[in-house]
Order: sequence, then structure tokens, then C-alpha cells
Amino acid sequence: MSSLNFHDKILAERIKKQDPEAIGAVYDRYVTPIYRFVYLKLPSRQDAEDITSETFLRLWQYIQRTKEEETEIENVRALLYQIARNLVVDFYRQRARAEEVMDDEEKFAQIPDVRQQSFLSELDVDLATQDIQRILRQMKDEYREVITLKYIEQLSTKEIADILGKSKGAVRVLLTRALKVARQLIEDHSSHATN
Amino acid sequence: MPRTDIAKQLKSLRSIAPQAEWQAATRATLLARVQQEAQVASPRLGTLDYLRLTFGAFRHQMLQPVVVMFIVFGTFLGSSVLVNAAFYSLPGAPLYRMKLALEQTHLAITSDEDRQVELKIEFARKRVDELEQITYAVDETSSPARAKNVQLAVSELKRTIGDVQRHVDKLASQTPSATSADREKTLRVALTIRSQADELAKKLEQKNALTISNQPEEKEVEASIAEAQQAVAATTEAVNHLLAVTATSSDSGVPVDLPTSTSTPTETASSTAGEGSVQTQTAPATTAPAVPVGQ
Repeated sequence: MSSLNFHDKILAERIKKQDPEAIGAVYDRYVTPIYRFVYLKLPSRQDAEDITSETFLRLWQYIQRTKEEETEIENVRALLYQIARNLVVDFYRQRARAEEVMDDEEKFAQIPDVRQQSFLSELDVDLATQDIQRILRQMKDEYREVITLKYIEQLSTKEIADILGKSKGAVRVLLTRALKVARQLIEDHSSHATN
Repeated sequence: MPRTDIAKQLKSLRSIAPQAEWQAATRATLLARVQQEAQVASPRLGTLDYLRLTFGAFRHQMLQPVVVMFIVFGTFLGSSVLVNAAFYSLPGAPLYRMKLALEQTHLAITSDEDRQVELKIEFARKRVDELEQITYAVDETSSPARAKNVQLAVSELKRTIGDVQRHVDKLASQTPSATSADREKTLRVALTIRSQADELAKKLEQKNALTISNQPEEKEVEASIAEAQQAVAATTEAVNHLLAVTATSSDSGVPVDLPTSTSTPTETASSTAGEGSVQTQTAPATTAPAVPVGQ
């Protein structure tokens, strides 16, 4: 189960003390879930890799910035997801700004490249997951996020609430709506495939 | 599609993972930077950190009513066992000070002065019993250590007996102006004290007879016990004085025959002096009146 265990708490204490081994242990433990989380939000594998490595660097900077007694790290995993979310938001914000100054020609030139990268990254997973990914990418970001955290990463409602900065009740409501949308999209996809 | 199927399908996305080469390279880059920038000399967690974490991890469970009940019960049981262990401890034992403190607490929560005196006599008897047990105990306690323990018990005994004597003196000063009911009460208290004092005197005499030895520590023990005997003798003397005062000032006609003290201060003091170790005080002229009170 995904509930926070004693090992996580020890890790949190050790990274507060700037223990390099602990940072390594945190990386080994969470690099794949964080990568997966951002991968489903970003257009390419390359972007997912950049944001993932940046997430761990930001964690280290956060620990360095705050003194040990002032550092309140209850849950390292939740903190990592929060950092990753913010980086994804920044990514799209920067991209939007860049697109504003980009002329149409450049914009069109970029699209195939992103699509190609996305296609290449999807070759690593089987077809069934490819369909699910496509459906997820069609969803609103907050729905995709909550579904990813609940059903792929299998986090508890409390942890999801911590990461998203919402109440547990709000997370449950969001999850119900997200599943409803997902079901509709899957049904649409299935009927489209049979036709 | 049923909801469980969606969940199952979504779970299949767990197969998404970063490439191993990228993962290893990023780890190396991150740790190189961390190693370079980490400035803490000793990042290891200490015992306190682990204790804090353990409490934090089980805090939720610890606040459950059933667990709280068990903790309270365990604390109560643990306290009972501790108090019981202290109750049977002897001078020199780690819990002996706790035993004395518990006795003082017992006295402090007892409001009735006469009951306090009864308790003090009871505690004095305990000290004498402890002296006996220290003497007969066959253990590895060294002679100087044993002498020290005896000194401790005797010092407590003298203090307690001194308190009793002061109480008796106070009763004697109040008796002439006391009502008949109070005098009757005083009489009973005085008789109880004298009876107990006699018993203590006998026990101390027996105890002193057992400690004849050439060891310097034993001589010290002997001297201490002789001092305790003096204190008991002085108390007996005070009680006899109280009985005399009560008898002469009484108009209540309480039909009580005062028994003669079996171990008068004179006898106790002379028996102590007979050991030749301590110079005892001269026995007072006042002895227990062998006449019924109120006549």
C-alpha cells in the first residue's frame, strides 16, 4: 500500500540533515514514479526526463535553503510531487510565452517534432497502455493528475490531498468526476475503434 | 466498462519507466552536486532522532482509547510493583529512599495528630526490623557498607522517635487544661506509645547483644544502637511523665489500670551502659504510676 511508513520518515529526517546517501536513497525510491507522473503530463520523454532531474535538484536546493530545524518535511514523496507539479506548470507557462513570440511558421515546424518524440516514447510501452495513455492525455489536467496519483501511483487520498493542496473530500469528488470522464472517453474510443 | 476494469487498465501504465542509462547518469550528476555542497559534518541520525520518529510514527495509535487505557493500566501496575518493591527494601537498597519518602507522604496526608504518632511508631518498628534483617543477612555486603546501612536505619529511627517524644511532650503540656474526653484520649495514646516503646527497647537490646565484635565498624553500629536505645528511653520517660500528669489532673474517673513499663528508662540505660560503650543519661525520677487513673 502507499501509506507513509517508518522508512519514509527516517529518509525525511536524514535528508533534513543533508545526508548525501539519503538523497541517493530518495532518488532511487521515487525517480520512476515522479518520471511517470510528469511523463503523462508532458508532450515528450525528453521533457519528462528534464523535469524529473530538475525535481530532485529542486529538492536538494530546498533542503539547503532552509535550516534543519526550520525544514518541515513530513512526507518526502508528497514534496517531490509538489515540486514536479510546479515545474510542469512552469514548463507550460514558459512554452506559452515562447509561442507568443514565435511566428506561425516556427510553430508549425515544431509540431511534428513534438509528435515524433511523443510517438517514439510510446514505443516503449505496449499497445494497451498506449490507448490508455492517449485517453489520459485527452483529459483535463486535474482529472489526469488525480487518476494518475490514485490508480497508477496508488497513493492514499490523504497524500493526494497533500500534493494537490485540496481537502480529502475534494479529492474524492474530483476522482469520481475524473473516472466518469475516463469511462466516457474509453467508451467513445471503443466505439470508434469498432467502427 | 466497469470501474474495476478502468483501474486495472490504468495500473498497466506502471510499466512506464525512465531509461536505465538516463536514470544512472542523472543519479551520478545529482549525487556529485550533493556531495560537493553538503556541509554537515555528521548527518547520521542520533538516538533522540529515532525516539522522536518512533513516537511520531505511532502517535496516532498511541492516542487510541484502548491503547491509552493499556498505558494507564501499565503505569498503575508498574507503580504498584515499584511501591511494593520499595516497601520491602532495606537500607542501602536503591529503593530505600523511596520507601522513606512514601512514609513521609503517608504522614503528610494524615491529618489526625494521634494517628500520625501511631504511624511514626510503626515506622520506628520498621527501622528496628530493618536493623535485624541487616544483621542476619548473609550476603556480600562489606562490613563498612553494612555499618553505613545500620547508621542510616538508626538515624531514621532516632528521628522518628524524637518526633514521637515531642508529640508526647506537647500532649503533657496540654493535659492540665484538657477536657476529660481529651485526657482519656491522651491516656490511651500514651499507653499505646509506652507499650510500643517497651517493645522497641527490648528489640534494640537484643540487637545490641548480637553485635559484639572487635571490628571497628561493629563498634560504631553498637554505639548507634545505644543512641537509639537512649532515644527510646527518653520517649518512655516522656510517656511516663504524661501518664503521671494525666493521672493527677484527671477528674473523669476513667477506670484504667496503668500497666507498669516492662522496660523502664533506668533499666534500658543501665543495660546499655553495661556494654561499656556509651555513657547513657541518668534515668529520671519519674516512673510509670502503678495506680488507676482518676483516683
